[in-house]
Formats: sequence, structure tokens, C-alpha cells
Amino acid sequence: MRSKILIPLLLIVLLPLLLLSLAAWRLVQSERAALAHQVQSLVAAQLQNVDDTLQNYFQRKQQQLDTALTELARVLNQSTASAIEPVLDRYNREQPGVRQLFVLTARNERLYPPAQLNPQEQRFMTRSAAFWDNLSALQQNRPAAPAPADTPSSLLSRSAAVSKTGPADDLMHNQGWYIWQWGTQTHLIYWRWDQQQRVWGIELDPSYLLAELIAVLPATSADASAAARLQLQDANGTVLYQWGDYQPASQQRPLLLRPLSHPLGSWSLSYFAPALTLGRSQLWLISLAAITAVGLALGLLAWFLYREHQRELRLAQQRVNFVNQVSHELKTPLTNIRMYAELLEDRLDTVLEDEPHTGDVGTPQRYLAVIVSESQRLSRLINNVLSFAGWQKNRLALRPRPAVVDEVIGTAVETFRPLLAAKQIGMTLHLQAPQQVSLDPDVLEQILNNLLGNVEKYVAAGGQVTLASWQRGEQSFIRLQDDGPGIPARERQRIFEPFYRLGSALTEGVSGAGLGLTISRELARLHGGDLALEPTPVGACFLLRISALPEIAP
Amino acid sequence: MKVLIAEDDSHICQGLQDLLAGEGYCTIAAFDGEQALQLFEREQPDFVLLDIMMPRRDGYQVCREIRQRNAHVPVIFISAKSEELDRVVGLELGADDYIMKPFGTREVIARIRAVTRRCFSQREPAELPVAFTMADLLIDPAELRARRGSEQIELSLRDIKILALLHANPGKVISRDVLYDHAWGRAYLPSSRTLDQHISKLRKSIEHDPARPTIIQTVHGVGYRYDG
Repeated sequence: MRSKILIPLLLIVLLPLLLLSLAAWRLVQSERAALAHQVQSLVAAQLQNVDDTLQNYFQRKQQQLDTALTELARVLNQSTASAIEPVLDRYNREQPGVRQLFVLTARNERLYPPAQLNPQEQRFMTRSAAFWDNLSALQQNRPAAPAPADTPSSLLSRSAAVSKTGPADDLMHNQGWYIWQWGTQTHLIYWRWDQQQRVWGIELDPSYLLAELIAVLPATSADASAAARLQLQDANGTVLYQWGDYQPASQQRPLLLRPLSHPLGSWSLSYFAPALTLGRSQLWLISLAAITAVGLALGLLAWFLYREHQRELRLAQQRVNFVNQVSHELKTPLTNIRMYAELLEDRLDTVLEDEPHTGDVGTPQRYLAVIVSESQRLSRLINNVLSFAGWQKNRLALRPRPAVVDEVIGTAVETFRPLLAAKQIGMTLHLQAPQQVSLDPDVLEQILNNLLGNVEKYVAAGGQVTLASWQRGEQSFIRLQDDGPGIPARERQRIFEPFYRLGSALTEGVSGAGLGLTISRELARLHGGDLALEPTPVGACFLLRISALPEIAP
Repeated sequence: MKVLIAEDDSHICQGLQDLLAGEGYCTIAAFDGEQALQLFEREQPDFVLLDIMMPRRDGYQVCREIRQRNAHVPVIFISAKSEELDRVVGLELGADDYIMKPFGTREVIARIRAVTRRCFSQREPAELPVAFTMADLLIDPAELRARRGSEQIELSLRDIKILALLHANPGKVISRDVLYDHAWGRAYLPSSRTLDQHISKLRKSIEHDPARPTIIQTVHGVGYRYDG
């Protein structure tokens, strides 16, 4: 009983808590994802910003170089190669950021530096060997040549990035950046064609370039608002420059890593920031508080319900005990009433025997018969109430011993004979169960008393009742058929329910608690059988079946 | 036959005494467990009716004590406690039967007769009363029954006593005083009608036509006679 209520109560408390926890967890997860996404896009925007700054620098650089090279080409066009050489030498030497200038003819012959290379020029040639190996690809891109192949060498990329903001259409394919890695440094060559299909190229000074790049980037501790660290890395992963206040751990992975746009595509930008924990823990705290509050409320509710339930149980138990007690107490006076009435009846039989019978219905015997029958009825009621209480407490049990079914029927019939005779109800017996079997005769008698009591109550005067018994193997059958008002079809199932009584004019004025058939069926089932209502054209017909039980020797 | 009735409710006790006396038993009454054991020692009854809930000692204890002194004397429990546990305990203590309150007189008589038959069956064959015939009746005192052909007639102990006395003196008139002393005992105050009423009732069960009796003849003003 105790655990039966505890389990649903526990479920009532735990299920909502579980669901709530799950919901809170999901909320925290999604919140975290949203936050991470937000930060990512913020960081991405910031990196994009840096990238744009660098792009702007390259654009400016390109324009500046274009101007210079166009001017040099114009000078060359107006003079001879030997005259121009000092001009180029000077440019090569004096222009800041320019490490080496070179000019190729339309046939890819080197115009500058001249055939006789000084050591500096010699080192340039060695360093930029990769560029010279790819000259043919450059050749294919000449403007006068047929349409260039769709896939130029990956190294010789046309300046697509620049072209977006490029000044003129005819320059679109006539210029570009060449990037390569030499030693630990990244080298850049800017090249362009002039109208005579000459190639003008400038190798930029890497250190100068880096210094210029750093100059356009924010100062090392400029971005004090956000505790973050940005790093510019070259193709080897070497950190070239970093800014921001945050100091990442040695093994910390960047929050976001993004390659730079052309021409420094092999370089990358990294963004480091402390892990986002603050918002998460706050949300957890709120969820935890909510769950605790709900849990507390549910727990209190469950405790309250449990206490109420226990109180109800105790009260019910007290009521049952009270009924039991009273029923027992009723037995002694009832015994006396019945016994003395029967003794007096017996005595009167002999005393009045010799006197002439007046035929008066008000004889003392009649009065006594009423006292006896009413006390019997009261006995049945008390027995049924006690059996019902026992059934409710699962304490009904049988006491099998050898008995003869027909003899038990005989006893019950003898009890009812005077009552039925008084109502002029005829009784026919077909008793064919004479074998001794192991059963509980008290239980069988109680069932029969209930059935015969119903006959006495409901069958009209002058009616008929037929009682038949037979045995088949271990089972004994008793059929009780009357010609009374019967039981309406729709009530057939309900008559066995406790406290149910047929609601009709028939039952009005007839006493009863609605327990007789309930208890009789339960007792029959306990006895390995059943009590059922049989279909019959007239009246009511009950079939009782009981099984022989293994005997428990006293 | 002597019966000890132990029952604390005086009305039930008196009623049972009347009932058993009517059957022809000699009864002794005890109103609590102690008294019941004392009377059992002193009177050596043939069987015992025991209430369970009694003052001083309950029926179970009395039954246990009785079993320790005499293993064979039949014990019938009378109780309002009809719950299974009580029944099991009662029967395991060695009770022969139990009667549940509220009981009817017929039920009590039937059970008393059944126990009486068992008492007889436990005796030595030599001690058993001998069966005898009266007219077409075969009377078996040990069975408390008479037989006529296939018909069985239930008789009380007192019926048997009356019939046995008449049978032992065929053709003689037995005076009412003698019959009364024999069947009821001197302890009872004679009532002129008691014997006649009993004979009348007995005739109803054994005679073919109670209005014209052939077995028990009335000798007016004196007593009764069996003609053999």
C-alpha cells in the first residue's frame, strides 16, 4: 500500500524536474552556440577589416609602382637602351622599397639589368629563379598574343583582386604580382607590360614591405577595448607581427584563423581570445535556481499528498476495524435471540400440539418464525460484511475438509424451508452430488444462503425454485433456478459489483446491502470455481461451480 | 452423557444447557476458563463446548490444558471469531469441530450428535450399547439413529433411553415416574406434561401413524408400554 502511492508521487516530482533540466540544458547549449556564432562573426568582421586595410595598402602600392614604371617606360621609349641604363640604375638604387628592377623585351630577352651582372643582380637572379622558370607562362599572357589559356600557372596569378578596383580595362591582364618563398622570407615581384609589350618588373624589399604593412596595421597595444590578440603569420607560420592586449597560452588555438587575400594569400591572420565562460555560468545559475524552486514546490506538494493519503488510509483502516468490531459484537445478542426463539418454537410445538388449531395467522409460532427468519437474515448480513472486510484486506481463506455437497445443500435448504413455505414457494431438489470431496462447507453454505436468501426476497408468493447439483471430476456444480422477476440483461454484469442493487420497483422495500452476490462470487472463485448468471427464459438462474481443494490437515 | 459448557455469556450458556438437556445430555456450566478446567478435572465430562473469548483463560488455553490431560475427549469451539486465523488455531489445538456465532439450534444439535457418534465409536466394542429392534424399527444407540428399511430416523440420546427402557420390558407398563427418572434423572423437577410432550414428539418421528401408535402405547393414567 505504501509503495503503491510512493511511486506515482516520486514520478510526479521527478518527471517535471527531469524535463525542466533537459530544457535548461538545451537552452544553455543553444545560448552558447548563439554566443559563439556571434563572437565568430564579430571576429571575422574584425579580421576582414584588417585584410581590407592590407588590400588598400597593396592597391596604393600598385598605383604608385604603376606610375613609376609608366614613367620609366616613357623615358625608355624616347631614348636608347644605353642612355636609359643610368636612369634605371638610379631608380633601382634610390627608390625606397625597391630591391631590384628588371625589364624584358617582347621576346623575353632581358633588357635590364644588363648582360654584365653585378653581385647584387647576380643574387637577385638566383633568388628569383622560380620566376624565370615561369616566364613562358607570362609570355602566354601577353596582350597581343592569342587569348591566354584558361589556366595560367598558379604562381602567375593575374591581379584579380586588384582588378576589382583596377583603373582601366586594358590594364586588366597586363599586370600582376608574383610571390614566392625564398629562405625564410616571402618575396614579391610586381610586373606589368608596357605598350611595346615589354615586361617591367620590380622586386620589393621584404623588410621594407613588412615595415610598411606594420605601419598600416594597428599599434601593438592599440586595441585595448577587447582582450584579444591578433597575429599576422607568414607561410611558414612565423609570427611577423602581433597586436592586442590578450596573452594567449602557448598551446592555445586561435578563435579564428583566416588567410589574407591576394597577393599575400599564403599569409594568415589569427585571432586569440579568452574562452567564453562568463555568460554560460550565469545561465546555468539561473536554470539551477529555477529547477531547485520547482523541485522544492513539487516535493512539498508530494509530501502533502502523501500525508493526506496516509491519513485517508488510516481512517479507512479504522472504519474497517470498527465494522469488524461491531459485527463481532452483534453476534452474541443475535445468537441469543435466535437460539431462544428456536427453543421457544420447539417448546410451543409440543405445548400447543394438543390444542385445536384455529388457523389463525397470529399464532405464537408465526411470531417466532419471524424472529427466527429475521435473525437468520441478520446473521447472513453480518457474515457477508465480515467476509467483505476480509476480502478487502485480502484475508479471505478457506478451510477445506471432507464434506458432501448434497449434505451442505441439505443444511442450507433446511434453514430456508420454513421461510419459503411461509411464502408458499415450492422447492424441487435434484441432488446428485453425494461423493465426499474436500471443500470448505462453511463457505459453500454461505454462498447457498445468499442465493436462497435472494429467492426468498424476490420470488413472488406461490413461485417455484429448483435446485440441482451434480459432480464432474474434481468439480461440483449447483444450479439454482427460480421463476421470479429475473434480472434485466443490462444489469447482468453489474449485479456482482459490491453495493450494487437492482434499481427498480422490485427492490424497493426489500432490505439488503448489495454484498451477497459480490461475496458469493468471490468465495466461489477463491474455491477454484465461479458463480455466474445463466441465460434463462424465465426468472433467474445461477450456476455455482466449485473445485475440490487439497486438504489441509489440522 | 455429560457435557461441559464453558461460555461467559450467561444467556448463551443457559440456552445451550436447555438445548442439550432437551436432547438428553447432562450438562455442567462454567463461566470462565479457570472454572472450566476445575470442572473438567472434577466431573470428567464426555465432551466439552468451549467459547474462545472467556475471562481469565481463553478457550485456546483451556483446550491445550484439556488435551494434555485427556487426548481423546471431544472439544467443540463456539466462537464469534470467524476469521481464518482463529479457526486454524482452534483446529490445530486439537478441537474436533467449531460452531460459529450466531448459530441455530438445529446446527448445534446436528454437530452435538455427530460428536456423540464419534464418542461412541472411540469406545471399546464391548462397552457399546447393543442395537435392538422394535416392530419394524432397527434402533442403533451408538449411531443415534433408527432404521426402517432404507429410511433413516435421527434420534436423540433421550429418545434412545426411552426406547431402550420400553424395549427391555416388553408387555409391561412403565410408569411415567420410572420413565422420567430413567430418561431425565432425579435432578429434574417432574412436570406432568414434559414426558407426554416428548413421547408425542418421538411418536411423530418413529410411528407410521402418530395418531394411532403401534410401538409406544399409552396406558392412560399410568404410563407407557411396548408390546414387543
